Amino acid sequence: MVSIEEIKKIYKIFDSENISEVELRNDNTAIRMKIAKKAPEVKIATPQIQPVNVSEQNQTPKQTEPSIYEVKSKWIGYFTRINPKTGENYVKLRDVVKEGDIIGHVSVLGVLQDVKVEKGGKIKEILVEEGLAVEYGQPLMRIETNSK
Amino acid sequence: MFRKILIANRGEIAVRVIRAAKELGIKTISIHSEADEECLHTKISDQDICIGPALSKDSYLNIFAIISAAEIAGADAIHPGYGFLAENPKFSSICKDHKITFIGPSAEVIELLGNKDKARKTMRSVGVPVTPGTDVIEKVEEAIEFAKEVGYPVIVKAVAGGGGKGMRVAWSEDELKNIIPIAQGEAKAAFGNPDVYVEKYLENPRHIEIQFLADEYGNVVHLGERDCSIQRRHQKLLEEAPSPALTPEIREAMGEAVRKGVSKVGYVGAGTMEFLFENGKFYFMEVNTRIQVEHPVTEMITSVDIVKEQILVAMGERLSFKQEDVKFNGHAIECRINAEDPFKNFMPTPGKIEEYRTPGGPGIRIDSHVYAGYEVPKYYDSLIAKLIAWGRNRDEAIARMKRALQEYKIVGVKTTIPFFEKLLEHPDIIKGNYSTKFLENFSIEK
Repeated sequence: MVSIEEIKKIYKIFDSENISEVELRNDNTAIRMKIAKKAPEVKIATPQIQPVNVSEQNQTPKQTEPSIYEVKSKWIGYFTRINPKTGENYVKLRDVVKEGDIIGHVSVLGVLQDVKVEKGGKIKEILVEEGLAVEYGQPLMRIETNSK
Repeated sequence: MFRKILIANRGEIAVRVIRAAKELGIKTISIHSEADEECLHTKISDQDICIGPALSKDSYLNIFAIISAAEIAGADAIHPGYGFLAENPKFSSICKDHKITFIGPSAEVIELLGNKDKARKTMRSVGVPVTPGTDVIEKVEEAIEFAKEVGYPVIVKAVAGGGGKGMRVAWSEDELKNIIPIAQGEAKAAFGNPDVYVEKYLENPRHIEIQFLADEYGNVVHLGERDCSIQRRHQKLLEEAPSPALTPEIREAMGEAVRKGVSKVGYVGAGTMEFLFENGKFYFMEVNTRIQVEHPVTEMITSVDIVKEQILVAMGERLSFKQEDVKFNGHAIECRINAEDPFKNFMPTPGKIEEYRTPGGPGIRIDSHVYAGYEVPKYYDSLIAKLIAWGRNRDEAIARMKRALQEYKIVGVKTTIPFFEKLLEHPDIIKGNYSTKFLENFSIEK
């Protein structure tokens, strides 16, 4: 089940960027939220919470097949998810991020380089432990984008 | 003692340095671009780090990425190989700033020797012969006076010129009188500076270079010469040691000149001083402040491991031998096997090596980073192997090289092997009678 808190969080995404639709999937839950573009007031178009239906997946494989995007390091250095301003992690597993979000830093010779997400989605896997060294092109996180 | 060396290079020279480090008991870190994941150097080092995309400027020339790689891997030294950042004084000094030993001379020495004018003046000041030349010509009479002294032909060069531009050869006094105003006009038009000077022109020089090693205690030894006259558009293709043209007396004189010049600038490390040689006289060209591609021919005839010595002196050790310990034994030749089509103007031929069989037997050495199934990337230079043959004398070395070339089988990419097979049949090559102009009149294209 998806909690109200999580729905609220997702809802916030609509505020900032021009995203009109978000679909999320858990092991046994799916949620899709739609928003009318340039609507003066944000409306949640009947949030559907329903168990994943296998037969339905088969009918529309392209829409429901999750697509995985890997956030890769563009630098050689030490990976951190901690926001130095707040002392807290930018993101955690299952958080939803959008394009351009900072999800961590690579510390290159002591200088923090921003790791930004190029495609939005839900963080499915965090591949590098806090503080470990990474090379160029190394996958840092896997994000489920649900895009076609 | 270094614990870990990062090799800031790729291909055969990275492989060569890894081998030397391993023999010294030092751990190695290789770096690679995204196009080089399969290159042999990444497979034989203790650690391997991807530092960037295929283009050299984003990877092997990316100082920031290389220093970061050295930091995360805990390298205490960086070996630059040749090419890429090997003669970049900024890189040497950045290594120093990060408390990483740059295996090569200091930034100051690289900078001094990288400036051709300063290098010439420095060498001349300690008695190393440089090509006779004038200062900037104010009056034509000065040029005529000079030419009378050194003899014709002479070459008129633009002070601001380079790459062969703004150069004219004069074979007589009349010609020189005509050429100077023309050259000045051309120099003004091309470089915005009409200044020209005149130098003795060598018609058929040989390219002869002296290998040297120097430690930080002021010990300098030379390891004799290499003859690298077989060049195509300034790219060396075949090198040999000793040179068929040198007498022991000239070798001695060149070696001593090199030791003086190297001592003068406070050089530490391995390096090469290059000369033009004609009619028994040698003239300083430049110093290469790094290990060179053709270093194995010297190793084969001196039994000195130049790369190991280079690492040891960078660690602050004394050279393990003295000048009088250097003995020359036999003859060695190197052919640069490039992924190029010698029948099509040496066009690069990147691609997959489908089949690969190497020669062996007495006196044969191969330094290479390729193997069957390896794909030669299009992004870097086309050298895929150095085939080196040693013999007790030059004839034996040539005979071994010829049969090794025959044995060498590389299928999938075109190589320079057929070019060397034909070259080694040429009577002037067999006699050792050639200059830097040799390949201007030699081709295997039909």
